[in-house]
Amino acid sequence: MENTKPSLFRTIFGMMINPGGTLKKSLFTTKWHLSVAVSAVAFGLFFGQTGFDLYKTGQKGLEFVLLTSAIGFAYGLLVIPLLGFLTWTVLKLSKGERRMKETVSAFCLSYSGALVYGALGLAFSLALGWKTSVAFGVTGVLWAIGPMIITIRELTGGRNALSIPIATTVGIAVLISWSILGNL
Amino acid sequence: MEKDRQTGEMGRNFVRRLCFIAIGISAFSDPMERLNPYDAIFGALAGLLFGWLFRKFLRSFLSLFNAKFKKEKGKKPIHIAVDKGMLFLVPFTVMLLVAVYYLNWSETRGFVAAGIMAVGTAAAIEFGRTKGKQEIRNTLATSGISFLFSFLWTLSYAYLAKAPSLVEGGVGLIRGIISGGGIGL
Repeated sequence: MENTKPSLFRTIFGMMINPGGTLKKSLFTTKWHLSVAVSAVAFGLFFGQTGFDLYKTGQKGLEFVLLTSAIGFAYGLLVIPLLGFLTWTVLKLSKGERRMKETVSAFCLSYSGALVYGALGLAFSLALGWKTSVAFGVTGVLWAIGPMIITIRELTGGRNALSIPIATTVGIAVLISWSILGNL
Repeated sequence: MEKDRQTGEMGRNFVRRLCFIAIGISAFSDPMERLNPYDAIFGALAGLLFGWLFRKFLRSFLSLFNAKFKKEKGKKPIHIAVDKGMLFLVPFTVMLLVAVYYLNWSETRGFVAAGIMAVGTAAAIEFGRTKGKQEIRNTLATSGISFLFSFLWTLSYAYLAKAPSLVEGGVGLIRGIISGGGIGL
């Protein structure tokens, strides 16, 4: 039977709705740089909207919007894969068999929901003038936690004991680093 | 083996209750007075009641959609799957505690809604693992219940948030009457 390769678009929505099933189909077929692009764009949109909200209230200038977008993009491009790498190290220490590239790729893909929420938030922000960083941005990051736990569980053969503490730590790290950005 | 199973069950029950107590306390805490005992007690009770109802509904709907499985294997595997799914609340609860008590946020509904939805998906996945196949009807059932409870929490929160101050006022009034001081105006 021919093994069909799911499109990136399908993978992104699949990771939101059915992360376990999607991961099984796409882990070996999705190119790692496309997965990293998902987290980079997701955080670019999320952090960018934080800057845009502050711009709307007159607290910051337009250059701050560009700066926060760039920081978010760099965050998703470097920090999230780094967290994925650290996760892989933990999994390796607990006798995990997955390759580093697969783990980082799956970890970045778990932010697919944040990407969709970020895109929707930007659309509502531009079209209706809403402040969207909390309503869409934080919700998107929260939405990523579920797929992240399932992703780590899939990578560890169904062990909650590892996936839940890792997802909790990553969630807190993202939340605190974002709040630091908002207070800059 | 049986002892391990019982320990696991006790651990899951403890973690789940702790999560719902923490959710309730965080959600109903007053940003101006974080350690108000009336808010904390009311929040803990509301959280526990909500968690108990949510768990009951998830179990009932999974049983309803899998009557044949329940007849053959009993209700225990369904209960275990739901309880394992409930563990997905942990990251959301810890993030909520950080948001409320460290970042001093007052908007908590997003954390609760996302956590509840994650539990629904997880319960269906856990049950699928037990059953040996993932079925869309189970995902729809648990997601539907989770959406309903997420909506219920969001909707009722606006009204319930007023309750602790009303209780505190009532207790103050009764205390005043008992001590003979009357109503302080």
